[in-house]
Amino acid sequence: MSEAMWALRRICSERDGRLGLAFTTIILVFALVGPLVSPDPNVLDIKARFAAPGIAHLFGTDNLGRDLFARTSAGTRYALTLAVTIVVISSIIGSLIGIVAGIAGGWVDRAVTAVFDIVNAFPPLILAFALIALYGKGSATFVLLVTVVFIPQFGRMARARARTLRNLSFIEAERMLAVHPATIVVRHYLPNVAGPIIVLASMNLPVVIAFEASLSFLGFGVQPPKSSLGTLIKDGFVSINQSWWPTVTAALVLAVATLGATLLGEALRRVIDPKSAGTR
Amino acid sequence: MAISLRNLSVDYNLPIGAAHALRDVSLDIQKGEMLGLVGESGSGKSTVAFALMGLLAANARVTSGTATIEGRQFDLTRPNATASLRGRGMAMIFQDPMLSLNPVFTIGAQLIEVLRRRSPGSDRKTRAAQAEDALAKVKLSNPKQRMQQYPHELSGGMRQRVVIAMALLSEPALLIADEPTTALDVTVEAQIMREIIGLRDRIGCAVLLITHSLGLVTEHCDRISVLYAGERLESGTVRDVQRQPGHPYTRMLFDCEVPIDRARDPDAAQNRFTVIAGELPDPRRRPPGCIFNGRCDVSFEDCAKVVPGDYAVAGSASHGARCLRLATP
Amino acid sequence: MTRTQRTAAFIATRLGSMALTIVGATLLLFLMVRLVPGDFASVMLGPRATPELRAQIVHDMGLDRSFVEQLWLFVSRAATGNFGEDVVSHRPILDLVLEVIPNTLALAFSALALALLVGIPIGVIAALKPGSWLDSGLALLSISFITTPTLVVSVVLFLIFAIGLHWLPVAGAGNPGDIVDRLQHLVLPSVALALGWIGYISRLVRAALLDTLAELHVRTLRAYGVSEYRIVGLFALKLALVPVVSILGIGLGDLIGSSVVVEIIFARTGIGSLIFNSIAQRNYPVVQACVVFIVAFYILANLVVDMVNALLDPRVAAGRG
Repeated sequence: MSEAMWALRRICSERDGRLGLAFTTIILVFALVGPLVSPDPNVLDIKARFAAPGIAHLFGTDNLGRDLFARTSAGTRYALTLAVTIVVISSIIGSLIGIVAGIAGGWVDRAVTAVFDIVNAFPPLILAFALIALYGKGSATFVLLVTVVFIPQFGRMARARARTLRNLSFIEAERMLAVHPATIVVRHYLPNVAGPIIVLASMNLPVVIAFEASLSFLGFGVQPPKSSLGTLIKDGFVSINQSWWPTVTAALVLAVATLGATLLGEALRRVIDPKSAGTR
Repeated sequence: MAISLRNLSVDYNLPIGAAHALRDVSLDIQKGEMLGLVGESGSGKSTVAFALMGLLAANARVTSGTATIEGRQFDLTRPNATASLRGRGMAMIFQDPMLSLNPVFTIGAQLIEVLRRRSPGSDRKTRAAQAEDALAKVKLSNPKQRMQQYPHELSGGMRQRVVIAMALLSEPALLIADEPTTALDVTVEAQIMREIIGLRDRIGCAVLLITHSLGLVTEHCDRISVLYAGERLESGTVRDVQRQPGHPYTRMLFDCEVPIDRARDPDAAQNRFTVIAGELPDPRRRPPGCIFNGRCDVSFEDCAKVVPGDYAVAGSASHGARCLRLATP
Repeated sequence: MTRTQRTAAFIATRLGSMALTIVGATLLLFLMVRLVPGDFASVMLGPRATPELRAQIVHDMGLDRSFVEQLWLFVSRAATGNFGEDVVSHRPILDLVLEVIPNTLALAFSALALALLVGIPIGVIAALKPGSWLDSGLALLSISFITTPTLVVSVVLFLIFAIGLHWLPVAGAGNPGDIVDRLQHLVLPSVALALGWIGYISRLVRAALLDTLAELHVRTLRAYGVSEYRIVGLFALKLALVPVVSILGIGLGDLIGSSVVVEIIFARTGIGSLIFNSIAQRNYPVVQACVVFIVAFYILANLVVDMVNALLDPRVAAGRG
C-alpha cells in the first residue's frame, strides 16, 4: 500500500502525470456518476430527439430522444470494463506463456515464438476482423478474440525477461539445489516479470480502448442492446446530418479517456521502470 | 609562437552543489614541445582540454581563464571563445576511439567534412585526395579502401589513427591528446604515440598530452605538469622533475611506479607496493591551506593554514612546485 | 565476403523468413476456417442456406475433399494467385482484390509520406532547443496527436469539412483519371490516418536526436569545427532515423488496419471496405484472400524497412548493431 502511495506521489510530481491522473479521474467519475445524476439512458422520448445540451439533458439527446449524458456514461463504463478485462486476461495469459517459453527454451520456445510471429504478421485490426468474421459477434467472443490479438505482446516481454533471469546465477543456484521449478517460478520469475508487464499493460490500456471503439464503430464489437463509446459514435455518425451532438460527445469522451490513460501509463512507466524511459 | 593558459578555473553545477573542478590552472607549451599533464582520475585534466576547446558539458562554467594561442588572446569565460580555432588552429584526439567516429558515415566522408572546414574553397575531389593522403601518412594500410569503409570495420588502434589523420589535416598550432592510448593495448599504444610524435614533427605544433600514465610522460614528453584535485602542483622539464621532484605528491607518484627491473621477493606477500593513502578532497569545499595536506607524508603545521605559492625548485627558473617546504630558505 | 555479397545474403535470409511467415499465416487462416464451430457452409450462407446451395458451396470450396487435399489445393492455387471465384459476384476473387488495392495503397503511402514530411522536421526543431517553451508546446501537441484514436480524428475532420467548412471533399475517391480530383479526395483521409503518426514520429525523432547528440562522435565533429546545423541535420539525423525506420514497418501495418475505419468514414473503396462488406455478407473466401494480401504486404513492408535500415546503418547489414 505504501508503495502505491509513493508511486502516486511520484506521478503527481510531474506535469504529464498530473494531467493523466486528472483526465483519468474525470473519466472514471463520469462513468460512475452517470446513473446517479441523469435520467435513465434507455427512456425514449421521440419528441425531444436531437436536443442540444441543456438543463434537462446535459449532453443533449440522441436520435431516439435518449439522454446522451446517461448513454455516454454507460457507454464509457462498458468500454472501460471491456478494455480492463481484455488487458488483464491477455497480460496474465501472455506472461505465463512467455515465462514458460523463456524457461523451457528449445523447441517449445521456438514454437511459441513462431506462433507469436505469425499472429503479429497480421495488422491487429485485420486479425480481429478475420476472427470475428468466422466466430461471430457478441461480447464474450469479442473479448476472447481481442485478447488473442494482444497476447503476443505480453508473451514477448515476459519471455525476454524470463530468458535474462534464467541465466542469472542465483537461479542456477536454486536449480542446483533442486528447488521445485514451480517454487522458482513463483518466487523469482513472477515478481521480476510483473513490473514490466504492469507497465506494458498500463500502456496498452488506451490502445485496447481505442481498438474496441474502432471495432464497435464498424459494428464488429459490442452489439446492441449493449453500447460502448464506439457504438455511440457509430449511431451518431449515421444521423450526423441531423445533429452532431451524439457523435461529438462520445468522440470527445473517447479522446479524453485515451489521452488520460496514455499520460498516466507513461507516468507509471517512468515511476516503475525508469531505465526503459529513455529521453523524453 | 607559444601556447599559454592562465588562471583557468572551472566549476560544475551539480545537484549536490557546485564542484570546483579546476582552480587557477596555468600552463605554457612551446612550439614543437610536448607537455604531459599528469593526474589521477578526478584531478580535472580532461576538463582543461575541454575548456580550451570550448566543449565543456552544459553544466560547466568557466569562472576565469585566458588562453593565448598563436599570439591571439581568448577569454575562456565566454562560451565558444575558441570556436574559430576548431579544425584550424586546434585539434584534439580523444580517449575512446571506439566511440569517436560516426558509425553511419564512411571514414572518407568524415575526413572530408573536416577539410570542408579547413579549406572551404576546395572541391570534393581535392579534399578526397588530401584525406587519402592523410590516411597514408598515419600509416593506415590500404588508404583508398579505408576511405570507403565504416568505423566498425576498423580496430580501435586504426580508428585512433583516423582521428590523428583528422588532426593532421587541420594543421593545428595546438594538438590536445586526451588520454589517447588509455583504451588501447600496450603494443598499439606505442604505435599511436609514434604517430602523435610524427604529427608533431611534421607540423611543428605544440602538444598537450593528458594522461595518468607517468611512463608515457617520462618516455615521450619534454615537460610535465602535475595536476591534483584541480590545482597544478608542479611543472618543469621531465628530466628535472624526475631527478628531483619538488612536490611530495610528484615524488609519491614516481614511487608508485614499479620499475620492471625491481627485485622481486619470491615470497609474494613480501613485495610491497607504494600507495598514496587517502582520497581526493570534496570538490565543493576546498580545505584551507595546501590541497595535498592530509595525504602528504612530510606536511607540517603551516600546511593546513597557508596556501603555497609557486616556488622554484633547486633554483631553476623552469621548474616550480607549490610546496611550503620549498619556501623556507 | 564483399559488401554486395553480404547484402545479398541479408536480403535472401529476410525473404526466406518472410516466405515462411506468409505460409504460416495462410495456414493459420486455413485452419481457422476448418475450426469454425458448426458447419462452415451453413455459417457462410446464413439464413439463405438451402441444401442445394449448401452442396454447391461445399463443392466449390472443396470442403468435401480430404483435409490434405484441401490444404494442397489452397496453397498451390494461392501461390499462382488463384483465390477461387467469389460465390456472390461470380468473378475471380483475385480481380476483386486487385481492383481495390490501388486505392488503399495510395491512401497508406500518402499518409506515410505526410507523417514523415511533417513529423521529422517537428522532431528536429524540438531537438534543437530541448526544454524550451517551443519544445514543451510541441510535446503536448504530439502527445495529443498520438493518443487521439484515428476514429476520433476521422469523425472530427469529417464533421468540420462535411458540416462546417466545405473546402475539401469528404466522400469517395474522386473521378478516376482526374489526378487533381483524386488528390483532393486523398487529403482528408490521409491527414486523418497520418496525424497519430506525425505525433509519434516527431517524438521518436526528437528522442533519438537528443540521444545521438549526446554521443561522443558528435563531440569529435564539433571539435573539428563542423557547423551545428550540419551536425544536427545531417550527421546526427542519419543515425536518429534508424529507430524511426524500424517503426515504419509496424506503422504500415497499423496504417492498413486503421485505413478500414478511414475508408468507411470517408466512403472510399479500398481493401478495408472490401473486407468490411465481405464480413457483413459472411463472404469468408474474400475475407481470406484480402487478409492474405494484407499480411503479404505487411511482411513485404517490413522487409523493405529492414533493407532501408541496412542502408542507413551499415552495422545492421554486417549482422551487428
